[in-house]
This record gives sequence, C-alpha cells and structure tokens, in this order.
Amino acid sequence: MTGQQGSQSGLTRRSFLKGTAAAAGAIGLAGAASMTTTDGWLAPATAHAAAEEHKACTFHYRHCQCNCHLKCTVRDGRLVHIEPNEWPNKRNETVCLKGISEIQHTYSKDRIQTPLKRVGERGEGKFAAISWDEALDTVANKIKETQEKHGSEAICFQKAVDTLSANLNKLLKGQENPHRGIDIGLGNGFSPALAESGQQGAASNEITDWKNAKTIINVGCNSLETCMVTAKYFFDAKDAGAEIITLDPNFCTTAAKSSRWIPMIAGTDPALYLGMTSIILDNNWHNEPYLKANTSMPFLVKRSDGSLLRQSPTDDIKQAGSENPFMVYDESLQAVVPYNEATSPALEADINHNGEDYSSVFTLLKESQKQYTPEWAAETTGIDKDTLVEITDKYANHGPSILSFGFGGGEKFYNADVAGHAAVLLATLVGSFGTDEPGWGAGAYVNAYQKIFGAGKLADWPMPEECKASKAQKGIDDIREDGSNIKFVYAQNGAFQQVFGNQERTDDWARNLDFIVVQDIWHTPTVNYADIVLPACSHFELDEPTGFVRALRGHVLLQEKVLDPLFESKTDFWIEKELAKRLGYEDAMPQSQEELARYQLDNSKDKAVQGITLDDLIANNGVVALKDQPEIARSYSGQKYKTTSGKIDLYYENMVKHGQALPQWEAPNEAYAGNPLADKYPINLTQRRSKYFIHQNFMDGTWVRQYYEPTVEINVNDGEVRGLATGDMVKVKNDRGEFSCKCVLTQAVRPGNAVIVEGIWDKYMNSGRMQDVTNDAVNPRGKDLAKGRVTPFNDTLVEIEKA
Amino acid sequence: MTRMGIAISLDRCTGCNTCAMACKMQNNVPMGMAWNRVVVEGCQSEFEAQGVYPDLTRTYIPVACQHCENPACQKVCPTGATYKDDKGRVEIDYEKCIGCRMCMAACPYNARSFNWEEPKHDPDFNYGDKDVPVRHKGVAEKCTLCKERTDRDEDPMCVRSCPSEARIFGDLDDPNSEISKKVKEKNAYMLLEDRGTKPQVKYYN
Repeated sequence: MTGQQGSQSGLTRRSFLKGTAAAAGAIGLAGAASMTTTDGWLAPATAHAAAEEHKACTFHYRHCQCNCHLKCTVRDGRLVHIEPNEWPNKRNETVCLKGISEIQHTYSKDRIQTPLKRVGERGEGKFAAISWDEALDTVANKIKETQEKHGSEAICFQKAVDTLSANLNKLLKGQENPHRGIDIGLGNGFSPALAESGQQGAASNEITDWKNAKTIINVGCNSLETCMVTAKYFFDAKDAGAEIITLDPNFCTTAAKSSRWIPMIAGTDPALYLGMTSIILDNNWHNEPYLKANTSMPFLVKRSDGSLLRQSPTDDIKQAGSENPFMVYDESLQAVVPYNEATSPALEADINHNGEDYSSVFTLLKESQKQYTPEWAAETTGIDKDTLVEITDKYANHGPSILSFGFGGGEKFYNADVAGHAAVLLATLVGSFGTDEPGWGAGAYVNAYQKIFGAGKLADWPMPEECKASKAQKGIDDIREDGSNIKFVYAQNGAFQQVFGNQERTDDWARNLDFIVVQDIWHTPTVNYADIVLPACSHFELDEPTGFVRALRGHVLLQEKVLDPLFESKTDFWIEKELAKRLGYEDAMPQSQEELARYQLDNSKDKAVQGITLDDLIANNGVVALKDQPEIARSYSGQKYKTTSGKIDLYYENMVKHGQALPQWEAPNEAYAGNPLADKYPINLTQRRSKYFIHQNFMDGTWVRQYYEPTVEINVNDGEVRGLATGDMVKVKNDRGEFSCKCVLTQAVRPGNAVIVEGIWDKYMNSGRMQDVTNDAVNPRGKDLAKGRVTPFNDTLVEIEKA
Repeated sequence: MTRMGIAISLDRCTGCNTCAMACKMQNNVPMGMAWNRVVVEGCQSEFEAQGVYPDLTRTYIPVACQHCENPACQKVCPTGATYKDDKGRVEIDYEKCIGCRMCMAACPYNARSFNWEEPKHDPDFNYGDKDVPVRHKGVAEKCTLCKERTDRDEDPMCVRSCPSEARIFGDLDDPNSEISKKVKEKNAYMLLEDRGTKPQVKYYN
C-alpha cells in the first residue's frame, strides 16, 4: 500500500487522482473559470513537491459580539487551518465552531461569484452575470439619478454590522439603517435613565465581573449560545459561588447550565420586574441612602400634569439640571430646594407648593406599584409568588447582584421598552450602578462585551463636507410605510429578512422601489430582491497585505490578508472606492486600506489608541492592547451620569403623555393571555439565536449544517394533540402567512410556545419563509423612543399542523 | 511512563460542538464522519431534555476515543494496526489496517469510523494539520489525541478551542499535572467503567 499513506504536505494517491481531474467542474465564467467551484482544488499533482504553507491573522465576523482573532494557516493558496490567535492576555484567545467552520464556509457554494443583474421579477432570483464595470456604472448612475430626482434622503443604506465598508454611507448621503427596530427594545427603556451611550441597554459592567457577584438574575438571555466565548466567565462566576438564576420560558442551554431555571410566560418581562419592584418596596429592601444621593427619586412632580418641578419654569425637559435645577423637599430645612443644594432630600414627599400639589418620584412610584402586587406578578408571569419573593430577596439582600438580559426573548415583544424601564428601575432600587463595587451591575452583557468596554475610537477619514448621511425621516415608524420617501435601497448581508417582520409586506414594498442593490458575500435571501448584486470578499480575503483595523475587545485588531479574493469578489473597500470614482470623489478617498488604517490610528484622539501604529500591529500578529484598560471595566464610576439631572433619571418626563413616566404594565400585542385570536392561533412562536449561526450568516455552511436543519420546536403535549411526531413536516401559519419545516417534540419548550432558530434561509425551508408569519405591529410610543419602535418578532401567534 | 489523557467538566460543557468542529478541521475528517461528537444524555437530539416540563435536566457528554489503558479495540485487531503508543495514546497504523472492522465492534464507545468509500471533503482539498496522515477507503479511523499536536507539546485542538474551558489535557501519570490534580479533586469518573477498559478520558461535574 505504499503511497497511500502520506502526509498532506506531500503526494498522496488521492491527491494525485483528484489533481488530474481538476477544472472538470468549472462553470466557465470568463476570467474566473478556475475559481468558480471548489471542486478540483486539491494540491497540484506535482510529485513530492513540498506544500507552501504560511500563517496570517485576521478578525472574524463580529455580529455575535465576540470579536475572535484567528490565526489562519494557508497551504498552497487554500485556507486549511484556523485556531485562536495569540493575544497579550490569554483569556482572549478564543474561537468557536463558526470560526473553525470557515474552512468550508469561505468556499461555500453560495458565495456570490460575479456581479449580477436581475433578469426575472424582483424576488424571483433570476440573474445574469455581468462585468464589474457594468454593475458599478449602473449603481453609480442610479445613485446620481435618485439624488437629483428625489434627494439623497430617498436612499436607504441598510448597513451590515459585519460589512467592512468605511465611507459608503457618506458617499450615498442617504439614511443609514433608519427605523430598524431590532436590538433596541429593552434599551429604549433601560438606557435613558443612565444616559447609556449606545442606547441599546449595554450592561454597566463587564461579564468578567460576574465572578464577584453572589446573585445573578438572567432574564431571557441565552448567552451561552449567542455570545459563546463569554461562556468561561459564566462558569467562572458559578465556580466562585454565584447563584445564576435564569428566567426563560424555555429550557435553553443557558437555563440548563444555570444554578437554577425558573420558567416564565414569554413576553411578561415587565411584570416580572414590576413584581420584584413591589416586593422590594413592600419589604423596604431598597437602598434608601443610595436613592436619595444618586437618583431622581426625591425630585418633585406636579400631580396635575406630571411635570418635574424646576427652579425656573421651563418647557424644555432636556434642559440640564445644572442650569435649571430640579427641586426636592428638604426634610431638615422643611422647604423646597434645588436638588444640588439639599442636604437631606426627602425620598417620600407629598406637599403643596405655591398652590400646587407635588409628590416625589418615589412617592409616585409607591402609589403606582400598589396595583402590581406579588400575586398579580405571579399570575401574569406564571412564576409562583414564593419563588418571586425568594429570588427578589436574594437579588436585594444577597448581593453583589447582577441583572442580565439580552437581545432576544422579551426584547422582541411590543412592550420591550416597558421591560427595559422596569429593569433599570429595579436595578437602581438595590444600588447597582456607579458605586465601583465589584459584582454589581445590570443590562445587556453581550452588548457591553464588544463595544462599550474595551472599545477605542479610531479617527474617521475626512470626507468632503457634503458627504454625510441624511437623518432618518421623522413621522414614520417603519420604512415600508406609505409616507416613507425611500426609493433606493442599498442593502448588505441579509438585511431584508433580518429587519422586517411580516414579509409579504416587505415584498409589496420592495416591488415598488425604484432600485435595490445588494452587496453581500453569500447569496442570502435578500440578494433575490436585488436589481444589481455586488459580490464582496469574506474577511479572509484582501487585495493588499493588510486591511481594516478595529479597536474592540480591549485591543486594536488588524485584518491581514489570508487569501486572495475568491472568484470575482472584491473587498468592500474596493467597491466603495470604485463607486466614489464614478460619483466624482475619487481624490477624496484613501487610495489603499493601508493608507486608511494608518490615518485612523495615527490621527486618533483616543488616549487608549494613541501611539499604536499599523507597524506595531503587523509586528504583533495583528493584536495590540489598548492603553490603560482596566482589568474589569465598570461604567458610571463615581456616580457620574450624562443624564439631564446628572443623576439616575428614572422618571421619564417625555413619556408622561404615554402614561409611562414610570413603567406601567402593558400586555404583549398579540401573544397575551385572553387574546381571542388565540382560539384560532393558540401557539406563541418565538425565534431564538443559536450557537450555529450569526443571524443568517453560516446558514449555507455545510459543516454547520451537519448539526442543524430547520426545525420548529414544540412541546410534546402540543405536538401529540396535533397528531405530530418528531421529524414530521409541519405547517406554521397565521393570517399573515405560513412556512413549513420539520418539527421536534420536546419537553424543553413551554407548553403553548413554539421556538425556531432565526435567520433560516428561505431555500432551506420546506416552503415559505419564517418572516411570513411574524408580527410587525407598531407601538405608538415608538416615535418618542430613542431608537424608535421595536419589531415585535416574538409577539406572534400561530397554529401548527401536519404539512 | 506517560499516560496522556483529557478531563472534561460536564458542568462547563454547553454542547456547542466546537470541539467536534475543531477536531474535524485539525484532522481532515471527511463529511459524514465525526471523531468527536456531543451526546445529549437520554435524548435523541440537543433540542430535547430529560424529565417533564418544568422539571428538566440536560447533560451534554462529548465522546471521542477514550484512549483506554486496556483498549478493547487493540485486543481484537488482527494485524496490530491498533496499538498503544509510548505516550499512552491509542493509535492506528493505517498501513496495517485491513478494514476488518473488528475494532469497531469491540469499542464500547462507538468511537471509531470506517471509510466505506474514498473520503469526501468539503471543500474538496485536504485541510487541517499538514502532518496528519491522509486516510483512504478501507481503513478505520478515530481520535488520535491530536498525535501531531501533542507530539509538538501542543494541546489537542478540542482542548485549545473549547470556549467554556471545559477540557484539561495532560499526563495522568504525573501526579502534579493539572489533569491529575483535577481528576483527584473532583473524583472524576469514566464512561462504562464496568467494561474494564480504563479510559484515559475522564469526566467530572
């Protein structure tokens, strides 16, 4: 059997056989004939030639929030091995199955290989290959035409988190990600109280601080799958003795791995937080000195109109408290005084001042909470009362405590902002913020991980003044609305399926747009809407030795060239440079990614970045630590808040008109107890993130798909009464539409619920599309929320039957 | 003596399959084959759990070759293709393997795979470590404890990649090694201990 066993660096019988068959499968696109298929890519049959092998490092896609930096081995021009890169601190040396699967996914059959133009109807998916010149000329002419005819704001740029476009938004001059409605639900309610900079509910401390906590309440966040490289910090906390209590309708991986899982009814997150708040107030478990010193709780509110009392009357609710102080009742002076002069502000106050009745925010809170009894919360959430009291006791009295949520679960319900507001209120009552005490904190830990903590600010490339994005159009909630003046959509990476519920509405809207261009790496379902398709390189491919720099996860991270561009794909940088040329801005752009990276580093005003050069990065495997980063980062150090009052502003004056100045229970839009629609559609369908995918990314990965096929997960009893068995093909339907895939009957899903992994590509469904059934109802509060209305994907009722 | 092994914390294992994927890549494991896989105790799939809602448990158990001290596979191998090497690993000499599959029948852990056909790779080239031997139709294969890496004093790829840091690799014969200490401290157990195979892969909670 000589010759059969050889190492990969030399000749093998197999490689010889395969090598001789090379190019047989090529499709024959001009200029790309040898690159259009991965078939026949085996080592050339040069006898005993030693394989050329080298390593290069790059960052991976970051939409999972992880920012892994990968050491890649390239052999004979092919990506053959991926492992964690070396970092200054070993704790960052991470990878997960998605990163490793890039060995295959980079060469996926679903890579877009050439520029395409639509030849069928929109959505039909019929395309013809065209040249880059034709594609770019068409797009540039349409941009100019739209700008001239309708103004730049008629262009909508759906920018992907994982794009490496740097200035494309400024070239398009259009609206960037307007009224997107995703990942903002809880933040809309949580962030204003703290003036949290990202407005997406980012946690106040790093997940690395969990090991210093004793009680961790984790609500509807499956971080062990969605932000997998933080798993070690979860377990380190458990090992250090923290009790991690996960509340979730379903027995997700994180629930299974927590110290304790408490099931609850989906979409009732506000009731959970309001109930816990009442229990704290009823038992005087709140931190009174903390509330007096650091929050708006002593501020006086005019009972007749709900306005906060200022030293001088004003209609400008955003006027800084330092200029025009909020007023409190001082117990020792027995007088109404400015909050910054009070020595003993009363937490509870009911007074008449200048003929008007005023109460403190805290007094109003106590009044408002009377209706939210523990019994009510227990009934609404499905958690028994004793359990609620027990976990609230632990949370309030057995700290340090963490309150954690994520970007799934309750975040994708109609009432998400109320949940966020109630969560920040609850966390404030026990003194979670600004004390610098290890192990206290609250918020979305997956969000904070990558971009709040350990993020450096790189300099922006200076563009001509007229090159700037338009503001999102006011007066609408959803760009598919009639009043939206968007004519041209420039979409990246699966935007259409990811952003919108109720897909039939997306179809109608897209049909009537003037022009759609999609720039993507893979043929995601969004590509089928495009008039012109621009194939982008993966993060592993570059046309120069180094590419982008990022300053995230406490380090500056460099993209090095691992592979030459595959097929006819081009880098995002090249695409925007070519468009700039056609739009008359050629000279305004950086001529190379190296020039851009050097500029961004050398001109950074951020002290954490200053002094770090591209050459440092190249010399250090593409990873250099930001300067003066704390071992564990915490926000609001020394009780500093950039809020209107400078304190934790829990009373939302702009929400008085919606009756939500303090959080008030609001049921979900569709998936609520007693909805008559449930007679017809009794099952609440929620979408979940999975360890296998980043939204739509990796759906086409054959390595990943060894482990997952589209499956709707339903409770055993719900399945059996419908005559279903695991593996059956089912139809999931409601009045909006239907889709069909396999089902699994499981005890891990709450009775009355169904769960499906989000982002599944249409073509992998038996029929239909997941977003055909999802709810897109608009909460009227949306226009007054920082990030607009949330898309209530999970607030969806369906029926499931055998297909 | 050296007796290489792996200790796995079942508390820390989240069933993410990164170990399985890392193994596939490192060792050029073809499509339709896994040297390393995650079993969900008492369940048909990872979607499921044991018990009745809401009284549920779910335990993920990563399973690969157990590198037994007393390997059942080795005993039945008629050609000596399967052998216990000087570092305590169970290895296969593919040159000597005649494809009789006696080892597969003998292994209580179902840790071995067989190349019924020429292996199919996607993408269609040999990925992984350049020193890993290429296998062909007609031979059995399984976890080598990343022989090529461990010979270079590197951790096996599953250990290097595990996001939960659930795995410890080391020498069970060295009482001061991290793995030996952990096995002792946690009173780690072995799969199917009653078979007398004495696995060098240990599990603990």
